[in-house]
Formats: sequence, C-alpha cells, structure tokens
Amino acid sequence: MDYREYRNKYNNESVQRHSKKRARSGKPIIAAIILLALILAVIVVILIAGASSRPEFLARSVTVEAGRSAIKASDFLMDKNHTAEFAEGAYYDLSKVGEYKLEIIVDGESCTTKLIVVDTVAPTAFAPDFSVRKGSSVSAEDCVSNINDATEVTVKFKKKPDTDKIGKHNVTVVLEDGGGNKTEYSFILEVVPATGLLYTHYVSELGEPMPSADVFTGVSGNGEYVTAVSNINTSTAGMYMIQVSMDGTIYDVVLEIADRTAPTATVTPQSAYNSIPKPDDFISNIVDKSQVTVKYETEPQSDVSGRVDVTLVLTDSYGNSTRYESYFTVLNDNTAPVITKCPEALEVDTGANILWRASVEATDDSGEVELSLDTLSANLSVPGIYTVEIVARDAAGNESRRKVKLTVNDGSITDEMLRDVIAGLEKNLNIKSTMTNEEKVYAVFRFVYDSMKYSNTSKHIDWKSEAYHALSGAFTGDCFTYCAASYAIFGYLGFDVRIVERAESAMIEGTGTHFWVLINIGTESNPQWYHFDATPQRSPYNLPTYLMTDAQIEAHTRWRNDEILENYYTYDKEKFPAVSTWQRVSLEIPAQYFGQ
Amino acid sequence: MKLNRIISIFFIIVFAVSLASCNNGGADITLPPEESTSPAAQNNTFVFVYRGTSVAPHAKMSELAAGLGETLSYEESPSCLYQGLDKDYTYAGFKLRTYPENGVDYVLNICFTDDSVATPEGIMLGSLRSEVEAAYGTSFTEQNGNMVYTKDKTELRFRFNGDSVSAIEYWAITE
Repeated sequence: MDYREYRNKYNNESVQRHSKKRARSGKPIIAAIILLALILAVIVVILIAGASSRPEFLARSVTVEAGRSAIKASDFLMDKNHTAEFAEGAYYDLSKVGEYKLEIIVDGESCTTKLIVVDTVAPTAFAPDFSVRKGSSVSAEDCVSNINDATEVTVKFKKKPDTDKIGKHNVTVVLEDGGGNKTEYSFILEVVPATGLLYTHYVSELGEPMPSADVFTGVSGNGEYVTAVSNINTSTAGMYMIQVSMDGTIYDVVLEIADRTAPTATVTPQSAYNSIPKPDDFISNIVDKSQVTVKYETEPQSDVSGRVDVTLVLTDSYGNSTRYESYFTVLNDNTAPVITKCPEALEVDTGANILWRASVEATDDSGEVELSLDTLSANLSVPGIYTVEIVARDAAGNESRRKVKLTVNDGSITDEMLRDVIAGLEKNLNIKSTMTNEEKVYAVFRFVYDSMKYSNTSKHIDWKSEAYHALSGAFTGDCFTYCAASYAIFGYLGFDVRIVERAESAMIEGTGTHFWVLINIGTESNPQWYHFDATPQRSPYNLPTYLMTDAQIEAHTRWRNDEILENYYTYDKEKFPAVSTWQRVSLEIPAQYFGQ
Repeated sequence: MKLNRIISIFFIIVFAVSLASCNNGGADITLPPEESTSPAAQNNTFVFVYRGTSVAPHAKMSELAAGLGETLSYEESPSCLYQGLDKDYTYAGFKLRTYPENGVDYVLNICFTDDSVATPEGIMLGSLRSEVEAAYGTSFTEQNGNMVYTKDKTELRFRFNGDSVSAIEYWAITE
C-alpha cells in the first residue's frame, strides 16, 4: 500500500469513525426515552400482575360437585385466618358443569381464581312398564319420571319402539346428564289395540293413593270400579283380582300394589387409613319405602392403595336396586404423632373433673391429632398417686403415649362440709319450724324428688360423699344417691334415720339392689318408723312414697313384680326397727296387691 | 451494546414477573360434599359431636356406637327407674349413659370428664361463664347452682367453680 492509498483508507475510516461519533452523540436521548418507556412498561406489567395475583393461601381452583346449594368465598381460602368475599358481578352456576373464572376480594385485595363445577353422579329416574294404544306417538321423555340429577338431563331411546306393532316391546332409554354421565333403563312397552282396555294388569306404586278406574280404560271418566276397592291397603304390596266397567261392559282385571322404585341416596367418596371403608360409609340420606342394604358390587382387594373406584349397589326389600359409582382413597400413614408438650404431673380432687388439655401439645404429619387422657389405671374416687397416660392418636390410629403422674387429692367429705352444703339449701328445702314432722318429711321428699335427675352414676360406697356431691351441685344419681341425699338432709334436720338396702336374698338376676331410708317421725321413746323413698319411678308407680308402712311397700313390691323389677322393697326386717302400721299416706296401689 | 443490555434486562424482568403472576397462589382443591343436617339438629335439640358423630339425648345408642368407636370402659346394672339395664359407656373425655325403653337403649346423658372435649359451640371444662353466655345466650334457668338451657326434650347443663365451668352435661328430659 502506497502513501496515497494509505491516506484514502485513513480518511475513509476517519469519516466512518466521525459519523459514528455523531450518531452516538444523539443516542443517549433515545436510549433514555426507551429506558423510561421500558420502566413504565415494567411498572404496568407489575401492576397488572399484582392485580390478578393469588396469595399462597388462596386456592388456584376449587372443584365442587354440581347441585351444591351454595359456595362461600372463604371456601377458596386454605388459611381461614384471612377474609374473602366475591367481587361484585362474580358469576357461577352450580347446576351447570363448567369452569368459572372468579374475582375474589381477599383481605381487601382483588385476586382471581377458578371454580370448577363437575357432575360425576349419573342420573336416576323411574322407568316402569306401561301400555299405549296402537299408533300412539311415544317420546323417550314420556317413558321416565322422577328424574334425579344435579344437572340438566337428556333422555333418548336406544332404539325407538314401533308403536304400530301390537305386542310387548323391550325398550331402553338412555339418560345423560350435563357431566356426560349416562344411565340406561329398560322396560316393557306394551302396544294394545286402539279400542278396549288399556291395561288388564295395572301396577300401582306402593304408598300411592288408590288409582282411578280410568287407568284401566285409558279414557278419562270412562271407567268405574265394580269391586269395592276401599279395603285395599295401598301401603302394602299385594295383587288383587277386581272388576271394572267400561261402556257398560264388565272386565276382570288385576290391580297390583308394588314397590318398583329403586332407592336413592347421597354418595360421598371416602378416604381411609390403611383399610377399606364399609359400603355403608359412602351412603347417606337413603330414600326408599323399605329397608335398604348397601353392598360393593365387587368387593375391593384388601391390599389396595391410592384411589380405588367402586360400584355400590343399594337394594330395597322388594329387590329394586340402584348402582352408584364412587371411589375411596387409601391413605398410608404409619407415623405416630409426637407429643411435644406434656406436664410431668397432674392433680385432681376426688370426684372432680381433670383439666389437662391446655398443658399438652402434639403434632402429626397428617395435621390432625386427637389427644386423650387414659385414666383407666387410676381410681379417681380414691385418694392416691397414680400413673395415667396422655394419648396422642392420628386418624390412621397411630398412637403415642406419655406417662404422667396423677395425684388424686383426699376429697373426704367431713360432717361439717355436708352440713354447710345442706344449710345452703335451706331456702330451697322450704322447711319451717312450725311444720309437723310429717310435713317436713314431705318437704324433703319433694325437694329430693324434684331437684335430682336419675342416672346410674353411683358406686354405692360412701353415702356422705354421694350426698355431698349430689347436693353441692350434681343433683344426679341413682337410688343410692337419692337415699344418701335424703339420709343426709334428715340427719341435718335432726331425724333418726336408717339406710335400707334390698335384702341380698331378694337380689335375683336382673334385679340388682335398691336403697331407701327408714325415718322415725315419732320420738325415741315412742318411735314411729316409716319407709321413705324419693327415687323416681315410672308411671303408674310414681307415687308419693314418703311415709310408707310395711303393708304398703309389700303391696307396691307385688305390683312391681309384674315388671322385671321384682322384690323392689324386699328388705331384712330383723335388721331394722319395727315400722309403724298406722297408714299416714294413701298410695294408689291397686287393691288386689294388698293383704296377700 | 448498552441498548441491547437494557432490552435484555427488560425481557428478563417481564419474564420473571410473568412467572411470578402465573405461579403464585395455592393448590387446586376439591370441596367435600355438603353435609346433610342431622335429624337431631333438624329437631332443634342439643347435640354433642364426637369424632364426627352427632350424639343427641334420646338418640338410639345402637345407631351411635360404631361412630363413637371403642369405649375405654363399659358398665351396666339393673335400673331402679327403668325396665332393663342402665348402661354406662366411658369414652376419652366423657361418659355416656343410656336408659332402656321397650328393649332399646337411648342416650340419657353425656357428661364431660375432662377438657379434651368441647361442645360444638366451643365450650369446655374450664371455659368462663361469660363464654357460656356468649355461646348459648342468657335464656337459661338456674337450678340448684346449675345453669340449664332447654331445647325441646333436651337439656344442656353447666356448673361452675367460681367463674369457670366445672361440669358440662347433656340430658334427655324423660318422664
């Protein structure tokens, strides 16, 4: 390259460099504009994205079965500590299968999610045999009634019957719902001549009113029962040979009362831990006129896991059956919960309830733990130190146990404690110093009888404790409690009183024991002992049994012997003071039970 | 060169934002079917729920036993009042007693024995009186220290130790 060439090349490159420099000197402004535009675009994108974003606790989609009565915005929340409501104009239709994009206001912010309505349950209907006259037009819809489905159902013939041909036709209709689920019903369509009876054998559904005679003739107002049908019980299945008349002619026909309606029910998919659910577990809200059994069409294998599709067959007493498709999911969980917080010791007074739950915590990988306290090794009625167990159990039945020392404090009831409790009840006892002993006894009877509730709770061990717990608040117990409460109150009032128990020899199988009291309403030197029993009894035995003689309790006992409660007031007389024979209270015991 | 970088950064940001907007939000969930209202609830009676089984006073025990699961202990004895056996079932946290009628056992009462169980309204042993009134209202009767709410032929009774609940009992009102 000579000098000239070199200079030209240099000049050209120099020009190019200068041109580039000039160009670069205008680019910063353009770049700034572009950058600004891009930043604005990013902000817009972020805003748009932010407006439609979903927080972690909002479901991306919620799937529900069609026919559900309602859905709440909070159903979309996986963390219920947040608030949610549908935005104005949010639209969905729970009777139509489809996907609905929904705007939900979550904690005040607008978010989008999706509702998916599915229909997985096949339709059911009633499709009985029936008759038509030759040449009649019959649609598939005419063949079914009581269609039951959550979405719209179409009905079609599998093969349209020819109603120009007299005779019986096997017909099948196919019902298809909005979810694409199909059910087929087969029945007999009988095509009869254009004249004469429409039915010679008519089946009326069990429980329906007696049909009009017109059903046999097929013409309104043209039929009449010749046979008296008022005695036919339409609530019981049966078949009746009867006569109907049409246009002056009498026909022998058959009226059959039958249950042809298959049972219906609500079917809920199940999940079970390490096991197979029972067929009944899937079923609720059975509708049928008779007893219904539920079975798997094919018993699932015992070693299944994951989702298992099943067919459930519901069959009523008349052999009508319905099949439902469903599924269960076998969940495998062999990990026991972990007790993370547990006290070393618990304390309780005898007879009191134990408060422990707040001091125990446990976790489980399933998220749900049932905590309980196993006190079977302790006697909560007897003071002492026991070892009990906190039990954490998950839904799969895996358990963790932690031993805890339980101290049952001595809750022995002193005379003073009992006296104080009864003193606090004086107002309710309504006993006045001006009352006779007989009136006082009746007041105690009314108080104990009316304020206590019968329940077989007593251990029949300690009358003082029994009376104290009953009168200090529980006001519940069995005959021993009623007896103990009466005994305590009479003692408080200064009466001489004894506890009576049914004689051991009278405690025959199925009878057990019974407690009541003997009370002296006389004096020590001139005693007048009577039987007193405030334990409630069922009608007609619920008499004012507060001052009874031996003759009266014996009559009462004979009367009750008619029930299983034999030897009700049978006691060992030799162990107790003699009872007064002077009858103070009239008891309405039938006369035949006295003096035997 | 710088312009190219800016454009690249822009697209990265847009892509990231798009990803974020697509991927945020929780899982797809399926709601269980609506629960049917139990007969007890329809009859407007007090109902205790344990392990998903509704237990109402007067309910047939035979229809509840499976749902309640295994008992911790069981006792029975001839009834002084009824014709048949009084039965006493102990479950974790409560006792359930039945009364016999025509050979069928019905729930007589449910008595809480510790604070591991609660009423469906959230009241348990140790709850405060004010919490009971907030849950059940003030239409109750005072019967010998028991706060008694009545619905149809059932009662819900609370006793207190000071201000906190010391006993909770569901009762069937019988003859």
